[in-house]
Amino acid sequence: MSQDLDAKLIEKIVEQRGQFLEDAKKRAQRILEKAEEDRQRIMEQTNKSIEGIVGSELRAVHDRIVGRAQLEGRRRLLEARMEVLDAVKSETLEGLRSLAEGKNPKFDYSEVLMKLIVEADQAIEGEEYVVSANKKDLAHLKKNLGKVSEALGGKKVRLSETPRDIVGGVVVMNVDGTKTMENTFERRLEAANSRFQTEIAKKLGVI
Amino acid sequence: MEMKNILSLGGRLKRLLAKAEEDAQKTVSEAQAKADEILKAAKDESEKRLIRAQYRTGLDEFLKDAEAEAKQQAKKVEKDYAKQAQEIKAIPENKIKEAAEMLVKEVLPS
Repeated sequence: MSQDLDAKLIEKIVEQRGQFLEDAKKRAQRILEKAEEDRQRIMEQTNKSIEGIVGSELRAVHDRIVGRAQLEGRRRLLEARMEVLDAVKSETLEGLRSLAEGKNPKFDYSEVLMKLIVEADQAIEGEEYVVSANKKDLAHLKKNLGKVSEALGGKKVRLSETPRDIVGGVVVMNVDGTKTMENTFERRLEAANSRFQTEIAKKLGVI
Repeated sequence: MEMKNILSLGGRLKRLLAKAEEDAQKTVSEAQAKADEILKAAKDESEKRLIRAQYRTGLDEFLKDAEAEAKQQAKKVEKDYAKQAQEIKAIPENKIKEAAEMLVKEVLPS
């Protein structure tokens, strides 16, 4: 009877001891797991903070180097476009020169010149004009001064004695010199070029 | 005599339990100490790394890599733009003439 009691008591105490140690082991494990979680959290937060600091540095490096390349690239692209548009402009001026020299059978330059004078008259609305042009055109107008006056409804027209260094067209001034219209090819080309640059660029497929 | 034995056994078992409790406490304390150590080390490391980042210490290599990568990207960007520019410049002569003819008509009075 006493031996049974002893055995039971021992068994219970051993069991209790085992439980104590097991619980302690579990608690210890939980403590360490929690510590590991906290450690991870601290590292993640640190990485995030460092990324915030270094990230701006990296972006700055990227923007400086790649941004400069993009700017340079766009500049080169613009230069290429301007080169093409300048080529169109030069070709146009050559076409106008050829036309003014009477080498383009599609156009009657004499008629063009007359229209340019009439257009200037409509803009200035004067009574008497002084017309200047290049040497060749002045000579032509001199021969056809009557026709010019007739085209202007009988208005008096004088020709400038100083020829202008222009490809074609006229410069028309009212007699008191208060109004002048430069209806030259060069001036008209500049205006047309500004107006149609985008359209031309689109037509050429450069934008 | 039997009673004496039982009492003696009881005492030993009580001591055994006390010892187990002590061991358990020791296990928990050791774990806690280790946990504290882990957290302290993590905090110290974090602080050091943040200071290094703030003072840009040791980041040179990192930035050098980023710079090399950006330079490679820049080369590609330049190459792409150069190709586009080349394509623009390579416009056929007849297209230029076509555009010029259109512009001539705009220059002339109607």
